[in-house]
Amino acid sequence: MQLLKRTVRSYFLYSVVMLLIAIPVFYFVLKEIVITNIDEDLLATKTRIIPLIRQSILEHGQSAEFPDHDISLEKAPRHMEKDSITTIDELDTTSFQLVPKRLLTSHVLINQDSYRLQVRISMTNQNALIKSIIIVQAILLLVLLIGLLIINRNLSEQIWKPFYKTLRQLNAHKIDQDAPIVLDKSSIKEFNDLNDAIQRLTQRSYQAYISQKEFTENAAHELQTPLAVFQAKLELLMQSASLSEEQAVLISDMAMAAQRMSRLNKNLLLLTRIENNQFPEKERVSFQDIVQKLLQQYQHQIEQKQLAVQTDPQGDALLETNRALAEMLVSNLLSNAIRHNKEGGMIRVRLDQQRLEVANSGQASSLPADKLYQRFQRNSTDSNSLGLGLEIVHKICLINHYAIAYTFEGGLHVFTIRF
Amino acid sequence: MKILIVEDEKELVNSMVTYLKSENYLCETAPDFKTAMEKVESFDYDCILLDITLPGGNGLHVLRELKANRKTDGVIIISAKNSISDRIEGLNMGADDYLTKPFHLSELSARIAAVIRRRRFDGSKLLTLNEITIDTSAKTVSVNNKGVDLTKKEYDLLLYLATNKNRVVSKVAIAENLSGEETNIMDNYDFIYAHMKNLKKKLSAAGSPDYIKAIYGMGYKFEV
Repeated sequence: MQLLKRTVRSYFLYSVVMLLIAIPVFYFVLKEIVITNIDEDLLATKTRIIPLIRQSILEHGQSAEFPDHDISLEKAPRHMEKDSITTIDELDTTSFQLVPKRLLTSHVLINQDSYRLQVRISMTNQNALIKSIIIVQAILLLVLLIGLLIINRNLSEQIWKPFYKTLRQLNAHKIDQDAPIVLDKSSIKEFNDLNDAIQRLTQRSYQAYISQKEFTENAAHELQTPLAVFQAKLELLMQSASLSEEQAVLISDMAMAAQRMSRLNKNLLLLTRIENNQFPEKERVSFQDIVQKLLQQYQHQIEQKQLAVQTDPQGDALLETNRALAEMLVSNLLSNAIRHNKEGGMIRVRLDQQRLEVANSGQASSLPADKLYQRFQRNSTDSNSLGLGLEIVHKICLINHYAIAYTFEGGLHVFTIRF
Repeated sequence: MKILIVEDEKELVNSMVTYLKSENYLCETAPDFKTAMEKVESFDYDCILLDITLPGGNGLHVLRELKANRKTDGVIIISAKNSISDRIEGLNMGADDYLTKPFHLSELSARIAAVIRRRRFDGSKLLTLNEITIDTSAKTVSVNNKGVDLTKKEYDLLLYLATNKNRVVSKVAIAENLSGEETNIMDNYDFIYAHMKNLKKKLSAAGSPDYIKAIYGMGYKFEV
């Protein structure tokens, strides 16, 4: 759930609950107040009217006529009850509608005769008043609530804006491609602190990334010269006339190890160069030509392992790209397919404008997909494998925006590159 | 043949000088930019081996100076950088070849020989070793003036061994020369035997003595 929705929803829920509780409570409290008020009126009327009635009966033998119907007096059996006040619905004589009234029933004793006095006050006006007050109140509350929600929403949006901006920038940030992130200043302290922390973090990881890259580059670079010296001295040693066979074998082994070191170095340098985007030149490259040329070049190795090479259906992919990188890409895939193959196995190359697919037989189980393109993750016991080939392939795909996928189907290891 | 080696790594220079001397090259050395400029201005060389990163300056400036003075010395750039833009820049500026460190001395010697051959004005692009003659412009080989039909790999192999005659050329160097620098598969060197066997067979069939000797498992030597 989004942050804004979350806060607004809490506010909204609270407000609705409050509204639902407040309006009835308000209504009943108001009603209670009104009834108390009416009752006081009734009692006041009664205390005012009883002396008048009493005087009238004593003087005239009967009660005075009451001009309105709100007060009635009639003889009643003797009754010792206390005064009672009830709410009744009475038919109004003019509007012929049931009208709620408050009725005071009181028993008075005048000249040994028992009378029942009833005083009523209509509640219509008061009820109407309550109704209008409640409606006005409800509207007010509602408007207040909506206003608060809107203000809160806008305010939150305003307040959280820098946060969302930071989030967007962080999402778009790629440590191996961009410079350290630069975030705007915000007027809110917490966000400023957050931005500062993020900036420091990306700065540190950027520096770590750069120094790691530089280390690889420098290490590989600085090793070139001692390697050259080593290799040259070995070659001079080979020229000495008095070598025994044993010594010759030792020298030969050293030469091969030196060769491996130099290949490793060259590939590491190549990787940093790809990462540094040092292959900007682009031209129209035919992948079919590259595949044919390389298969020709690897002919001997293919024959030696007695591999069957299938290259149909063979289309062509003509792409605008860097020739050297394209050749490295195909050459790494093909040489892997040969190197990790079994005796008498097969290689299948499929090529069209959309994709290049290199499949080969080999070990009988799938390769671990998560570690496939990582440096020095060897999956074979072949000590001649450098463990850099697939990383180079991966990097080349990355900078060319090709998608690479590995699948293991029908006993074949399949690498598919979608252009 | 006079060669100038512009390189600051002393041990590497020593090795190059030792190897090239046995080929009867006259080697001079320049360990820094200043010396290199002085020597290049004062003398003519058949081939200059030029390191790009030099104490005191960039090797490419030496090359620029050479070309500005219309000197015809052959130039092979030797760099630890192997960057394509450097390579292209160097070749565009008139360098004849580009070699990346680390390299094989036999490869260096072969490249120097090629540069010198290309720059010869008497039209002689022939390499003669007793009864074997290699025509480097037509890329053909003849024994006692009779043509021998070699595959491209066999021709390359023979030329490589011949330019390094009387020296042991390591298997590794041969493999790299035959399959190119950028090859990924260098796991085994068996394919050299196959080519070598065919080459020897063809040469002896044409009436040439067996000049190519296998030196234990280490490499081969063309002995004349």
